[in-house]
Amino acid sequence: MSDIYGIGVSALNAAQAGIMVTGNNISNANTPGYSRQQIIQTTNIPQATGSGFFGQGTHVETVKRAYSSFLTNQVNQAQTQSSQLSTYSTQINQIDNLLGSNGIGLAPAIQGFFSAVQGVANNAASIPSRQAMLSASQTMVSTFQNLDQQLSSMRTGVNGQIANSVTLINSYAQQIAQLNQSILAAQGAANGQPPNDLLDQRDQLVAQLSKEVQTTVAKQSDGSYNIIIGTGQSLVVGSQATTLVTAPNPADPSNTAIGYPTKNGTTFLPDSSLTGGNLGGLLAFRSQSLDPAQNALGRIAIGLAQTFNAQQQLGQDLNGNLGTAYFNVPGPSVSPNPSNGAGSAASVSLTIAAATSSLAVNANLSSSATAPTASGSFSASNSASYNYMTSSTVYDSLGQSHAANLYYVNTAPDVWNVYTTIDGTTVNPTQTNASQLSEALAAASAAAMAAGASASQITDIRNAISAAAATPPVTSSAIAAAASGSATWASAGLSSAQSLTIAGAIAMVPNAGSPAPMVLQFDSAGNITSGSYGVASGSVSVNLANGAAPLSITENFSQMTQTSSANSVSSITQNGIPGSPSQLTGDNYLLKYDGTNWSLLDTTTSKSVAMTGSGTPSSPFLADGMSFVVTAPATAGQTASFIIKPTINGASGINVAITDPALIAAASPVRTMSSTSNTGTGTISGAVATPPLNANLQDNVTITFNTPASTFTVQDTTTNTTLASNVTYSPGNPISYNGWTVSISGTPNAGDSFTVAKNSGATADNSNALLLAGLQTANTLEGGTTSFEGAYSQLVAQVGTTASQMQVTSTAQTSMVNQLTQAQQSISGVNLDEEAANLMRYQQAYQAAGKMLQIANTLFQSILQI
Amino acid sequence: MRISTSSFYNSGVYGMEQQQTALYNTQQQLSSGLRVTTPSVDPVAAARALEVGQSNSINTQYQTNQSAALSRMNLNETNLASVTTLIQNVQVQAVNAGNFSLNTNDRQAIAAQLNSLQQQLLSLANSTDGAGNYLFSGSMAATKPFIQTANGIQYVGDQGQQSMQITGSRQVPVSLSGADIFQNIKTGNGSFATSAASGNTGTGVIDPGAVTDPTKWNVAANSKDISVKFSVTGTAPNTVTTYDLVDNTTGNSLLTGLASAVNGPYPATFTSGNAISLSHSAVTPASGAALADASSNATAADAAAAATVTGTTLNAAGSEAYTAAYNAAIAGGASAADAATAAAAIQSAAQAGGTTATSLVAAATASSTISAATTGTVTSSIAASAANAAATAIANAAAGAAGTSFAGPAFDYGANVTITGAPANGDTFNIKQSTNESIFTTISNLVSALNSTSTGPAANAALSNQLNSIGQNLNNDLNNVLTVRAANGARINETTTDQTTSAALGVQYQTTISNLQDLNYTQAISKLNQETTILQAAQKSFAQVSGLSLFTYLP
Repeated sequence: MSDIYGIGVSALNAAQAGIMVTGNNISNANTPGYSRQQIIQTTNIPQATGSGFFGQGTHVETVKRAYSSFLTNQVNQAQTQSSQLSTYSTQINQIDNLLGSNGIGLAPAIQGFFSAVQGVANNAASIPSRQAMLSASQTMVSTFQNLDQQLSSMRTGVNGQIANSVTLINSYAQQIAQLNQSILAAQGAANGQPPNDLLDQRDQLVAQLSKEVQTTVAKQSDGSYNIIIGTGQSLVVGSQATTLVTAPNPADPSNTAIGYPTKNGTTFLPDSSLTGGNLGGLLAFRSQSLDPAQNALGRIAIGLAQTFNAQQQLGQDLNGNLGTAYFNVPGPSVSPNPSNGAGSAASVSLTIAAATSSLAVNANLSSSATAPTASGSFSASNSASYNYMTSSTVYDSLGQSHAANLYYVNTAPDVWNVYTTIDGTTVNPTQTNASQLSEALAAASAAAMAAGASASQITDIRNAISAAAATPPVTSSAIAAAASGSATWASAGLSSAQSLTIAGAIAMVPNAGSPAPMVLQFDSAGNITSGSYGVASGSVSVNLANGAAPLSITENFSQMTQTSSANSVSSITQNGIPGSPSQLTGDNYLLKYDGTNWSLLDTTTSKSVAMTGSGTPSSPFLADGMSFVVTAPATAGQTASFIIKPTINGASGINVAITDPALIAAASPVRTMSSTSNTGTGTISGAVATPPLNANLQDNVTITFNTPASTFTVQDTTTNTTLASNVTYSPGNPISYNGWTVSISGTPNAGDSFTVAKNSGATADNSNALLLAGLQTANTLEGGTTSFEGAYSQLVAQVGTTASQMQVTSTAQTSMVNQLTQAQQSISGVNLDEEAANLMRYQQAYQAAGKMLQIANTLFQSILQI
Repeated sequence: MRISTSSFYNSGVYGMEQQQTALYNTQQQLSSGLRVTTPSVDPVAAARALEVGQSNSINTQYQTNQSAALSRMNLNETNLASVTTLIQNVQVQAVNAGNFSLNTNDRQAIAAQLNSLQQQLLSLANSTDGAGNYLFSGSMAATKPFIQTANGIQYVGDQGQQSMQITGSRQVPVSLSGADIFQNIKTGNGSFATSAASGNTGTGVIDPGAVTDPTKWNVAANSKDISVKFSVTGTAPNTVTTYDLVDNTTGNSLLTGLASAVNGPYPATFTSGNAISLSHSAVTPASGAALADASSNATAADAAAAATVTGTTLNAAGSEAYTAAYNAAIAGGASAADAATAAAAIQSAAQAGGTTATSLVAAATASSTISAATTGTVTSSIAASAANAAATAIANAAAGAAGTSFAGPAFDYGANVTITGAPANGDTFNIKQSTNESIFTTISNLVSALNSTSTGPAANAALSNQLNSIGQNLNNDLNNVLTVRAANGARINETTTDQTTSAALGVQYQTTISNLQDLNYTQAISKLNQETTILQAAQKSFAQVSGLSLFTYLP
């Protein structure tokens, strides 16, 4: 009888458990990550009797969740792709919308600007036209800046979202690690029964994590999950979770980088190692769309500013002066890698082909001094009447050379005035004493050398001058001392095979008869840093005058100037090559020094870029429209690297440099005139100034036809030099001197003359304005294949294509996720109809078991009533 | 397949979301009228629309430039039309002034009018564009181009010329330099200018001359400074007017190739109104040296080319023979009186000699003539030499009169001048390379010519000569202004044509842009309807399906 009760109760319990699990399913039908549960019911062990085995009822063995790790994993993988694509798509849609809105687009702004330039061309004398051009350029610059501002705020937003995503990842990792622990504990406590809800929670966390970043689960034998994200960064191991951190990338501070803490600080993960999910989408967007877009805008801005400036500087403004820069050209971004090391002298300076630059003489100036050819001898007796001069070449920040002369003018016995001229203009007031001294030393030494002084004498001279000439004027006794020796190097007979080391002396030209030029490089402090023949620091080689092999002479610089050693370079010359904005690419670069060589890598295309030049101020590295002047680390073998973003600051940094409408250089700097006494039919065209700007551009030049008139002579009447004699005349051929080009046509008669002169008072002249306006359609970018607006439409096309592609693939991937989720849900999901059926099933089972108990009870009562 | 309940909801919602997105995009297109609402809708069209947009914007700018250019060129035209009228008025006055019935006062009255015209012209030359910018000062808009100075009215602008970009490939010059309009105008016939020397006493009047072969005129070695020197010899009525062409740079006669003689007679005989050609074919008569040899007489061959001479020319030949014989006799050491006697004998022999050059020569060198000429200090050898010289002169005179050649080197300047009237002995006319002269100077010259108070035939001839050259210069001035006007007018035409082209191009661009980015409403509305229907179907079916649940049937 009790057996019947027992069986009934077991059936009752099982049915109850069934109802409970079904109820649980119904109640969790909408719980994310919940897997449908089922009871696994088995029979009790039967009782063996003589009449066979009698079943002893039923019991619930376990509660099992409907779960497929395969499908779940597939959903996660699809989800991580989908999240990446949809995040990318969302982000790039912002740029898409930005560029798509006609009102704030760049195209109307550029068009407006050039229309205003045409306005000036149509009426060059009109101040209102000029003011309109200034305003239009301000509008265009603002548009550049606004667009860049929007992109920059997108970057800020992306950086913020990356931090948020990393916070989520950290939180998920922490929870997964905890769950790993809890699950182990719960399993242990429940005799190995699976803690289904904890497992669901953990799988749900993995699914969430997959949305943020690509996640790989390695299930351990004890059931715990080890999590690897991206391309192999371990995130959770057992109950341990790594905490990721975000911080501005030290090598590229504008971007947030992701790293993990190590003993020595933070190790940053390369962006490419974190793929998938929102995080992967954000990182990919930042490097593949945001950077290129901002660079492309910057490139247009830089190209426009430089090209426009170059033309403006070939013109003449309303005040009759040569044009000055119209735009401020933004500089490139150079970020040294922090691992370059403290105390390392490695540095790089980068210039993008500034087409123009002001000439600064006292700073950032490299100079190559040429040894003077002594035309007299130094001696105390004739010092009073001896003036001499050294010629040097200095480079401005364009890399253009200018003639610099250092004059020693004897004004009274023992009094020498020293002054410097650049392109004929005295710049002495800005020259520092140090550099004066240095140049005086160089000049005196070289002059003495040319005059035949011996090495030790030169050292004496140098010491004397350096003491005497600390403050100008240099006295003649110091210079005269230079010439006191009579030994001549030429007669000493140095042969080409000989090599000589001279402490404290400057390199020299051994043959006084016909000195070969020797070039020395100065840094901003006036220290000589290297020779023109490219010899490593401390040694200069010069050519023997007779053309024999170079003679190497070692220079000990520390003795020459007491202020610094040869290794430390306090500032760097900026060089550039005019015309190279067209070579700019809009890519980002990595400049590396491997301890021996410098190399350049285009990080956008991952291709290495060949550089020409040697990285020195006079011969900078040139590549892709950039020029680099570099200094290697002081410590031998130390490496260094720099992230170079040439155009990233372009759109934000462009500015209108002038505010006075009169400064717009609408006129040509030179005018042409035919003499009214001309009897022939010759006519002269207008003059066009051609780059580079010539110092004598505005000199008065007369072109006079000889007798017979088949040839002409070109005379610069400002400097009284004959530029050319008896040039054969052919009508219409270009005639170029002093940086201008004209042409003469017709039949001039003998004695006819034409003049080219400064275009004074030419307020209505619009020749340069026409050239400026022509820049709108000139193909100046992308290696001379596209215009400014063409480059902009390329950008729009690129962004549009990527956005469209992202929308399509994102939609496709979402469908994929939906399908896989459906498949996964078809196993794990709760179907309420099914649960309703189960409810009825277990209810009936319960009712049946109850009936059984009732019958057992009735049976029992029957017996009791007996 | 087993479907979880939440999948029903999720996929239902997803489907409706998709439809709503599509509907949203279509609605956006309809409300903006743009098919390409963002570049991603059609990146190629978006980029192309930007490019065409730039072309369109530039084209619009060109249209603006064309209007500006036209307005400026029309301003030029208006001013130049006034200048034309003014110069024509000056020309009328110049023609009036040439009337010899006018007296000095009348001419001075005309001069006063001309002064006023000159001032009007000055004010036209200094016209401004309304904004205070001078029209004709080249590039120096702020500089008054023509100013009155002690040396007359001077141009102080420059020769700059502004252009405007009226199409992508064409910059049309819109400004005109005052130098080109008023200043740089060639005098005379454009190659050379003729003038009478101020000391002329005859009534010769020179015309402007003409260049018949510019290539020859322009040969660099050819002198551009030539004088026509006249000599009148003989006694009336047997006077003979001869002329020489003198290259003033060398002082040599072009006709003989030798230094030009101070006194006549000269190699060429002058006939009023006949063109004096600045050319000559080489003729090689017996050389003077041969003739100077007493034993050698001029041969008939010397004048073989000479045609039959007329009576008039016989006189001329006789007087030439006289002069030559006289000069030769003096050179031989004869006294003046004896030389004159000897020369007269030779002259009469020559004049009686016959009707052909040959006979003239024969007469002049006949031994009877020589002996007749031998008087006083004139020996027979001197007389022979004189006769020989005379014979050469006769041969030349005969040849020249016959319009053939005279002895001398060949030259050809490809030009001729015509002198009418009777030049007096020693009168000179100059032929000089044309130079530039401003309209103002021409008018000033006219005024000063008219203000001259001299009278008489010589003064009249001088006035005629001046009026001739000034009239020519005024013609040149007018031609120059008309040429400038024509060029300006041609540019106006060109710009007007370009305006039409640009307008058509603008329409073309607009159409292209519209095709690229504008919405096809028919398609879009149809699409909107379709998408609405699909969304409605999705919503309806979702509502229906989600209502299905077994629980509704449970008791």
